Amino acid sequence: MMYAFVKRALFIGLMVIAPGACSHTKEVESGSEASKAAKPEKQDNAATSSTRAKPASRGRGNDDVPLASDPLRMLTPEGQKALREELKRRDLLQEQGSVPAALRKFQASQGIPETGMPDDETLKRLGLDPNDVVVRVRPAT
Amino acid sequence: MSRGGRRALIALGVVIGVCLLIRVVLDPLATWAIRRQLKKTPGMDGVIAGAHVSIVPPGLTIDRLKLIEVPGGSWKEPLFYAERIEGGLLWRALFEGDLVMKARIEKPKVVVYRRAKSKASKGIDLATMLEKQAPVKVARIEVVDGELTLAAGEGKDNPTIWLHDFEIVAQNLASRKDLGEGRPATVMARGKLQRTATVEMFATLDPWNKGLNFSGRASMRGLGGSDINGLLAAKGDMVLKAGTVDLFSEFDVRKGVISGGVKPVLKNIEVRSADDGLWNRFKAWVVDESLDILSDDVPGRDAVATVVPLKGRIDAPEAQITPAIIGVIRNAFVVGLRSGFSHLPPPQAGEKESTVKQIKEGLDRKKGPPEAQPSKKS
Repeated sequence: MMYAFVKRALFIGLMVIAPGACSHTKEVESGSEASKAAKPEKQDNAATSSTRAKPASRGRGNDDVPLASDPLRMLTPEGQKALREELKRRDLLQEQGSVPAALRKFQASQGIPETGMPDDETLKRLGLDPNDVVVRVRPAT
Repeated sequence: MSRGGRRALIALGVVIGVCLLIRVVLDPLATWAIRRQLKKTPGMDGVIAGAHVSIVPPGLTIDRLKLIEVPGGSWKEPLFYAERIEGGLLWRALFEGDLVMKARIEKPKVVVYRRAKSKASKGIDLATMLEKQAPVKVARIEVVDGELTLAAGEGKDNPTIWLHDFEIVAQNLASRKDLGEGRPATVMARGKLQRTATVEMFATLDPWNKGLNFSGRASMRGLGGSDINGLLAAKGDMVLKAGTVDLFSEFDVRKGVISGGVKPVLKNIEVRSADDGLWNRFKAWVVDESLDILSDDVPGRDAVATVVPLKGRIDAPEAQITPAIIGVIRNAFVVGLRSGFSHLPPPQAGEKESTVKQIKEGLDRKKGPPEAQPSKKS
């Protein structure tokens, strides 16, 4: 009872004092939204690094299929690099450009669904073999 | 020409004739069979403009499929319509003894009316359900230029959610784990919501393991005030004068237990009363001022933003309120939270922290947004 009261009082105090005590935030963490738009993959990858570690920490079996929350994480690091290189080679991607936007452009030119994500058909049409670039469980020996 | 040669020529002519006959008869036969099947479907009626069967590679194309509910359905407003549906079997897999299919649906339109809530079945076990199916794999389903309308009820006055221009790819949907080739089933989608927002969804699913196992992300960017007003019109005392809403979510579900987070970013939001009533005007003023106080002051946006950690069972997820509130204050007075998937899912504290410690660390500029707290069960 007392704890809940202190907790509420703290929040109310903070809500009342904070506007007077300090000024409003003037900038977004580590650069602006404009710079975020310029470097989406780098930040998104950093953001999902915690999810990458999850499977191991959750005691998944070795034969469990690898789940990913980021479309680019479906690909191996070499696969991601190969995808970027191929998109650059086709003048669809600039050095700091967005891979999803480049993929959408490519998919539109091919008449396949414009999801901006690297599905198997998109990879094949880019000349990449999904068997080589997609993360999968090693076949049982 | 010798007698044997003549016989061979006649036999060849007969084979070609039979093939031509089959080719000519096959399409009307398929059209008739599909129409008959549609008439037999309980609670539904359907029509098609025509069907085309291909032998090499084996496949079926259906043109202009329309489905209505019976009784009560109308052909002018069908529940489902698709300009073209193409399905086929993959030759290579067929030679290896596997049944692998591929499908493409062009310009589907689906209308869903909200019905009375049916009792949700608890503890869905996809693995057990799939074990009962024949070994089959759908390598790819693609949906092009789709449209989905979710309506609260029939009639124009009910608020509707309108998803359009959507493109979907689902791949590696197999009823057996070995057919999945060590990869998860995957669904990728992108489209527009109402008139202003862009929505994206990505999910990987392991249907062959016990319990629900999936991981993914979803986002909605730029939902404008007019669209939100349309959705809230039925209930609201207030309307949005200006502003947009972005929403990002990343989730990971293992054996039915969810961890993840939702990041709402409300940009340049201004609220006013829906009518001239004094009480509603006062409420709108309070909300507007609160939003003003809790907004950051970043050029180009006055955003109220936070990350709401999600924990618990998938059928009853719990939002952690304390880190979410600290996140709002951090965004307003310490450092602005970027719109996008950064800090999703929120990192989890090693052990449960006191509220004072959460506030101290959550408002520290050098540290990231508040961490999710471990739940008692985890």
